[in-house]
Amino acid sequence: MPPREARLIKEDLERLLASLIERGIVDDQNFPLLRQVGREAYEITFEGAEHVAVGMGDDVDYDKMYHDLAGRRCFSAKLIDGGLLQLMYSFKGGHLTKHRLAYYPSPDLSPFREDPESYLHDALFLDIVSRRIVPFPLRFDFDESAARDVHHPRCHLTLGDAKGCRIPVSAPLTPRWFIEFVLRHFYQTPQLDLVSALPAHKHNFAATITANESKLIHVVVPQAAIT
Amino acid sequence: MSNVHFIRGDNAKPVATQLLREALSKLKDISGECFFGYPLIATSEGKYAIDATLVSPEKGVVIFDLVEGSELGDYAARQDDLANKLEAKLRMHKELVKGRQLLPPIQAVTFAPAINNPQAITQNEYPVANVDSLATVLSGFQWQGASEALYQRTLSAIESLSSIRKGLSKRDTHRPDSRGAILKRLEDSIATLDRRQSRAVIETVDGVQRIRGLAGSGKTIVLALKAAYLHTQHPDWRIAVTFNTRSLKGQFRRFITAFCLEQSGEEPDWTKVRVVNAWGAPGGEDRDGIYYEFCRATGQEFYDFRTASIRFQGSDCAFDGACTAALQAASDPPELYDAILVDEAQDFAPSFLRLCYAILKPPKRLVYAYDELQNLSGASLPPPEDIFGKDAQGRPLVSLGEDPCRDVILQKCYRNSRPILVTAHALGFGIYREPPKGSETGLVQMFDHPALWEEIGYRLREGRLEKGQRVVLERTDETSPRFLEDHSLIDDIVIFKIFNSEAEQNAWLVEQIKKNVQEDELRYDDIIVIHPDPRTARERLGPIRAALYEQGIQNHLAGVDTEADVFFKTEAPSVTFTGIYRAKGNEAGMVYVVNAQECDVSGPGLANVRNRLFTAITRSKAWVRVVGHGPGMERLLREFQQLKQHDFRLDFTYPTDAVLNKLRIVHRDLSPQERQRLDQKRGRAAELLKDLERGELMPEDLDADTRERLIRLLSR
Repeated sequence: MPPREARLIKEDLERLLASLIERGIVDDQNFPLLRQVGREAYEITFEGAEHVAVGMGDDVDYDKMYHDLAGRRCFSAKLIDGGLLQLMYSFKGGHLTKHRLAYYPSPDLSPFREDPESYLHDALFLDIVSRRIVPFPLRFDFDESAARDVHHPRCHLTLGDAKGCRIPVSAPLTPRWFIEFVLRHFYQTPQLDLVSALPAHKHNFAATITANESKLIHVVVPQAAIT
Repeated sequence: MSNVHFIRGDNAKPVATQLLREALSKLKDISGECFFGYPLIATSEGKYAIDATLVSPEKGVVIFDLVEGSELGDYAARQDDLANKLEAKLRMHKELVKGRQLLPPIQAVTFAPAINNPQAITQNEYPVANVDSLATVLSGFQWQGASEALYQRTLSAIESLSSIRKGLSKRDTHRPDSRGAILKRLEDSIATLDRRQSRAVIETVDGVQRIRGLAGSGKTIVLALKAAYLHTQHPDWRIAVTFNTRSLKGQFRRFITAFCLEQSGEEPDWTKVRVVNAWGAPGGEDRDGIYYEFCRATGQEFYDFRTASIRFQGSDCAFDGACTAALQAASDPPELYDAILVDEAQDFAPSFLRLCYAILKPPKRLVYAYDELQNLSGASLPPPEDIFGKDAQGRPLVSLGEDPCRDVILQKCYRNSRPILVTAHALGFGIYREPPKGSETGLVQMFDHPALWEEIGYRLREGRLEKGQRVVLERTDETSPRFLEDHSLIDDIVIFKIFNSEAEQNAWLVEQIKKNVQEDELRYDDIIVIHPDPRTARERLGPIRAALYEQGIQNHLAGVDTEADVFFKTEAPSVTFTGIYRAKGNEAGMVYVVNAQECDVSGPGLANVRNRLFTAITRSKAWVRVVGHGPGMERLLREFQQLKQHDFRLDFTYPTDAVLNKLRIVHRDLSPQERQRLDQKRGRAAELLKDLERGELMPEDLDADTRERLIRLLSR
């Protein structure tokens, strides 16, 4: 039997995906999988996740990386403007040991917020974009085993896949927090309120930031009210 | 006159070709099909186009080696070579071989009209002929043991376009009567092209060629194969195939590759035959497009979708505005292409076709395929005389005349069975629509030329096909083959169903799709769900998608970004949901049209929404379900029931010119400005009504004359 926390996280993710599909913000998706990978070791992943490594190469052009991921359907969800979400969690002995929560925007299409009307109305020539966008991926990683005080915060945010960019984060992120983060900062518009329609928070992870790390500029994951 | 049909492909020997054609036309005892510049033959030494090939039930296969001028060269060797190669090609067709013997005889003739005394130089077994001696030479050939069936098989093998259409992936079926098994049998039967399609592929016109056809008549495949044929014939030509939805790109590339491999044994050279978007944007080969290339070559300012929408007042006119502006500004556009083929031309403004025309080298080989009824933009394409404008003397630059090679109509419909196609037409035209109060007809729209009905494959059953006359039209077995509908009961092929609410409709749909994939042996990609209004497709399809997702049934929305131009993801089983734009050019066994009630509005835009319904229904290869709720759906259901009672025949009074004009005005789509003005006026009427209801304005406050005129106008 998978640990309670893992089941909660999977349910959280499933509910979120259903809600985003219903709103027409997610165009394509893979079912979340919860499986045992060792003694007392479980992971939440998705079909196609075996290709996730193509997104980790050092010398791969972002354009190519994105198309490899999209082409192999290596995502938890594909958003309305081609942005990809990947959510993966690992558990051992009943608690979280790792997570990898990534957002890869499309290098070809204009970001949703530039023209939400055309996106929502499925305009025919939406893909005709002349300005080359400078899209950058972002990732919230949590890794207990690799952590080193200040140098490698347990939970950190990496922007644009920049080497050594590990902005400390106060606690691991639930799917609910991660998806809200992406929607709020890249999709929400004054006319289209995506965030408040999201399903309620179901879980909180305990803080993992060290005293030294919290003296630096860092990202705080609030404790949500659980309903 | 003989009974030989000519299919004029391209062989770079125009004089000898013309003379051969005339000579063959005069022979009385010969029938069959004569191809010029066809077939192409792949050999280890490269590819080969045969100058002319006659397939005749009397003579068998006769290959012509054409010689312009009097230099014959080593014609005996050429004849041997051609005959051997064609024989090798035909031997691959098992149905043409008995034991080790090839059944149809193959003969070769060198046709050299400039040689005066061919008999004198003819060596044994290697005939040379000119115009006068052709009859004598051919009289020496006989096809012993010919039969109609064998002749047809030989012809199919020569055309050899058959294998290209075959399905993409295998299907596993266990029950012979499941929907999956039915679909498999259907797909196998429609894998071949028909004669008219093959002709349209091969026939090459120096100038503009128009291909019209019903949904499902194979316009897209004809265009693709035509591009491939021209590319194999003229590897150095720059050829563009262009369209407006990304979802078509993959199909084009697949068809072109299949044709080139089969015909020439070589992969197409994609730098020469280019499958590109009509619009295009910077960012490399993959994103290139015709309009973008035009701007690049002429130095004109390029607009992308967003900037054009802002500059030219709205997304509907964006592309037209951009093309018009570019054409006006560029005085002397360079000639960039040898041939351009445009698919779904009904969705483009004339300015785009003019732009294509402008960048073509003489003789301006522009081929455009269109289907008036699939026009979703509201404005229909004018005749070519109007599209391309006039020369300095006021003569139209392009006129198709009566030449059937220039104006091809594909009348056979292979995708949709008769009940589906006639349903689409009946609803698209509003044949059985109840006339609105005060109107003499319920028709939504109608062809200006009654004769077009026959050209698209209908037969007159009763009445007269003339304006102002009652007419009853039906499909023929020829144009809508029976096997397409014999697989299921008609009541199962087309179903209209009304629900009390959208939620009820959605719940039913989820159950049906579950049944389709779990019991009916349909593959996920056999199913498309279409919401006809592109503007609301996303939000309205969302709840159905979410419900399926929660039941573990994978599905996706065909978006702007359908990656790698794959509309259906064959490797990952997933049910396709789509708005009408992205559904175009695609097909599936089971089609659900949801919220169909929105295709029954009144007044402006009615023609447009009916075209959406038409396009949605005609996506179906086997079954279609049109569902919805409310009074709009009730009316559509009544129209459909009427059609059924009329045995899927179209029984109506053909509108007179006056009525046609009125229809065009009443049901046309409005420009955004017009729509705004109309909304304002409606708002004022609503205000008046409110004032009257509240008693803030009494009827008596209006002067008697105004009151009387209002009453009269409103009760019309």
